[in-house]
Amino acid sequence: MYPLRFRIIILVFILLFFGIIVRLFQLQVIESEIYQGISHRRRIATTLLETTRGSIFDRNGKVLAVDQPTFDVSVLFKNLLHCYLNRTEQPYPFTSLKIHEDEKKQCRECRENQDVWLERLSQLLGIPQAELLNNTRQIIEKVERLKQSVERRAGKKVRIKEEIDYHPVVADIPWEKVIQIETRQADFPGIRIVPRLKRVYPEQKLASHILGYIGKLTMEEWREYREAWNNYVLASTGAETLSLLYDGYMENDNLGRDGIEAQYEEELRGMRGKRFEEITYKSSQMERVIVERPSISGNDVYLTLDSRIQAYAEKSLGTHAGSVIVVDPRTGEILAMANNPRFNPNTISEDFNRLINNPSKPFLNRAIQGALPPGSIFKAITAIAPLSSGVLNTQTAFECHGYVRHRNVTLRCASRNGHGLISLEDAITYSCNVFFYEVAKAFGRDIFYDYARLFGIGERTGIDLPHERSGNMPQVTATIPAMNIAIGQGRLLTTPLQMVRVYAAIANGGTLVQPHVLSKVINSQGEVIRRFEATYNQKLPIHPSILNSIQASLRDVVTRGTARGKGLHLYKAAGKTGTAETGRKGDYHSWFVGYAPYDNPRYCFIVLVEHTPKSSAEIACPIAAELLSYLFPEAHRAS
Amino acid sequence: MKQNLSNNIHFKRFDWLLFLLLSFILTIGVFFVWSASSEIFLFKQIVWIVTGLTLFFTLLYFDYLSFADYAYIIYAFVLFLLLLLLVLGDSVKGSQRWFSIGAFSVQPSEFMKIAVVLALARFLKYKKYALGLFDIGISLLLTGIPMLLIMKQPDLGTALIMVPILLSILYTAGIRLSHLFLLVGTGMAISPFVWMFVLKSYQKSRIVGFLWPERTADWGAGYHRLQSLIAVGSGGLFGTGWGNGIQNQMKFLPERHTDFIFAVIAEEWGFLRACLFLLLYVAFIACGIGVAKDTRDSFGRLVVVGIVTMFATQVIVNIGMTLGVAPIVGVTLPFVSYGGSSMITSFVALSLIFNIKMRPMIDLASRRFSEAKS
Repeated sequence: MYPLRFRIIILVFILLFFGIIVRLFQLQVIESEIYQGISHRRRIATTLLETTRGSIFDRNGKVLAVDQPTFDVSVLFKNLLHCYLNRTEQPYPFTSLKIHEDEKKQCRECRENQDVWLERLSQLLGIPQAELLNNTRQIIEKVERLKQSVERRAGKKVRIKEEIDYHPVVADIPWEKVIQIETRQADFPGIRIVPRLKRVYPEQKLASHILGYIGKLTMEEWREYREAWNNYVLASTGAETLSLLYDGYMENDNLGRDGIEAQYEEELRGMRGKRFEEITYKSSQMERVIVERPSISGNDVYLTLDSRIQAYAEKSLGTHAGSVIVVDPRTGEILAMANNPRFNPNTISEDFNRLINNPSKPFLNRAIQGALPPGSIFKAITAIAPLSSGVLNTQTAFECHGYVRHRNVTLRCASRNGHGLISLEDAITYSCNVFFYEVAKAFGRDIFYDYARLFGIGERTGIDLPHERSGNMPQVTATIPAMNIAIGQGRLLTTPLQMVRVYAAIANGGTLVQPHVLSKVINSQGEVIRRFEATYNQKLPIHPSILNSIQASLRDVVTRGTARGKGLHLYKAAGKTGTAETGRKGDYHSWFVGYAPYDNPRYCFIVLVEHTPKSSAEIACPIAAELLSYLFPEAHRAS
Repeated sequence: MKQNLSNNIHFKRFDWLLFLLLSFILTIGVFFVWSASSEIFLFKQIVWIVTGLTLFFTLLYFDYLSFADYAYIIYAFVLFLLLLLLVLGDSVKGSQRWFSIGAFSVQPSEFMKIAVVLALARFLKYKKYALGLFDIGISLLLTGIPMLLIMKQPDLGTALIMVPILLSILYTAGIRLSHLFLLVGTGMAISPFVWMFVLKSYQKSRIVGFLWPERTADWGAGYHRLQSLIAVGSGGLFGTGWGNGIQNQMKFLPERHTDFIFAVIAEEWGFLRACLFLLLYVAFIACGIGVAKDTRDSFGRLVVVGIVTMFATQVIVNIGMTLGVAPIVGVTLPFVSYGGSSMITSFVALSLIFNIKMRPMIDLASRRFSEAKS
């Protein structure tokens, strides 16, 4: 019907093909020389360069974590293999080693140098040969496994790079040994010193939960990161050219695993540079470096932590399982966050399995991950709630007989004989349970829930540390559970950080601050590139007069209440004791939370000792007093 | 299929010339996939070819008019697969193009090309003399919806191939020239919106990189282009010889057994033999259009034109890509590039051409008529 149209379609296609042939002619005949030149002479290989991880400092500039150069002794693979085959008798799991066995028989004398390294290293470093051989075995197994998987994929025999490379046999050798090996190269054939950066935590166990630790990427993680990086590069626009010039993680890279190291991984990591090398075609030898993009070291991170206070807090806590937090109530800066038990991040790779299986859970950052019943320290919220909603005033009093009955259930007060007729202010001061039972009974079940949520109970505080727990603020419908929650028991669970934040808000006049450990980030040129900015600092809707009366009660706790005579009054402290029941007899969580000085609070602190037979006054208060003696040395001396 | 009209088939009309050309192309392809990769890929590629050939001969036994009967159903089914893919597809290199079924991965966008050809041909087969604006509009929708879905994956190359298919089918179906120009003009007018709302940023940067190489920050595409140009250019007049290409063997050329296979051919075979290879395709396409011209059934004719356009566009875009005259969009070279979906789709499409050639319309119609009576 349209025979012409078929001809035109054919014509269009033929014209396009003709265009292609013209272009092909241009490339292959006219400009061929140019491209052949590029292809034969100039080929570019890229290598990734090391980068330094940023350091971590405390608020006074004391180093808490730093990358330090260290030295490994590496040995040529064929020497390792030779030694291994000659010295060990056990059958080898890899069949491909048969080739190596044959090689060994062929030429004995030309290999006489190959096992010298074993004796020399053993002698020089004082390491038994058996241990070196064990390391050797691990290296050989790893390389053989790699070789087999490469060969399986390629479908033919291949020689992999690792077979002609040096492998580290001993790590972290001292400087004087490095010199001996470097100066007497001839005595150490096939041995090479390889510098490496090692993460060092100079203060050892200090603040280990806050600093965290680093660990090697697993194969899977590495694949994931590489994939993510490639996608990021694919999807990025022209504006983000910087990222295109650098590279993501490399195999065997370290990654922050916990604490600050994990939280600020992006800041600390730095970016790997690239070296572009020209390689001649014939020998595959590197000819010269064309261009090198130097690595960008990671940024330094400054914390709000004061390592002196931290050290003293850890010392005060002693061997008890528990935690101590010191925070600036005005800003939410964490000055100390001590936990016990701790771990040493320097030796984490050796200790990991032992620590992770330890029943006392040394990896647990109890300050933000330990969700426990708060006991009486919760009563500040139980008091503020009815005062603020107007159902109670400071003069309201209840009669305490030492117990309360409600539908055949008897709930007891801490004081066996009762406090008599007691007002709210004294109920806090003397920690009277009955008063708060009566409040819960009289004024309804849900009276605390909204206020507890307002104070952030049952929610993460948003501190810049990983794996924070939210605790639990239950919404109860029955009276008995509500009475239990009123005194900080029952299904109520809080972390020490949540409670210290509540008291910081009471101390600073009603602002719920965001706790944080980051102070600022500084790049390698020393410029401040980021300061911590709280995303929320919330003014609570609580009348100042209510806060004042609560503050007065807390002050009375120290002067004449449950914490009387523990030395806390010397430092003008105010606070609240708490002894939370665990359900087992003679097993309590002992709390003390407070701030000082009471008229102008500079420090807000919390002490928690888990699972102790003693009451708060006996164990948490003395720890708090010891801590304060460091925070206020003048007051301590004056006493 | 509804009827098996195997006794109606005319083996005398089997297109031996087209089949011979195909055999040459396949053989060359197999050798260069081998050169560009390893024995494993060679073996897999041969398995794909054998599977494709089996499918090809099997499909010849079904009367092609059944495809007309089922055209819309096939279209709807593949469209459904595409939608499904957007919801739960595998993520490969950040895009969703594959279904994984055991060891195989299926790429519905490949099959969509054939489904669109069938649906368009079915829709336009009665419109011989009066192709109105309404018909053009429906054709646009039939093509546009799957195009958008494929772009969303994102697979720009496959989506763009739909455009010449639509144009050539409309042109054969008898679109007025004024309407054709109107269509092309409108397409150009809406392209800025496609640019703004449909294309992903890296696709944009590839196109920018192609149009203004000095402006691009996309090292990926730039690297591909450069390595491919070096490969082609260093082939010279006579080539480096099979298995001797430096760019190929030193693995500097990326995706050399799939999208960039022509660069390997050009490097190792040189200009003269590369031209011969191109002429095989030219002859192949000319033969295809010849089949369309000789077909008296309008459905068959439109299908053949659509499929031949698909092959021709893929060849031109793929080779243009390796020569740096088309943006790098990921289009395979039919019957040569390594890969299952591409190979199977090509064979299915080819079987339609052979089918139509071997079943003269008049015989088919009379056969159907007599069957309906009995």
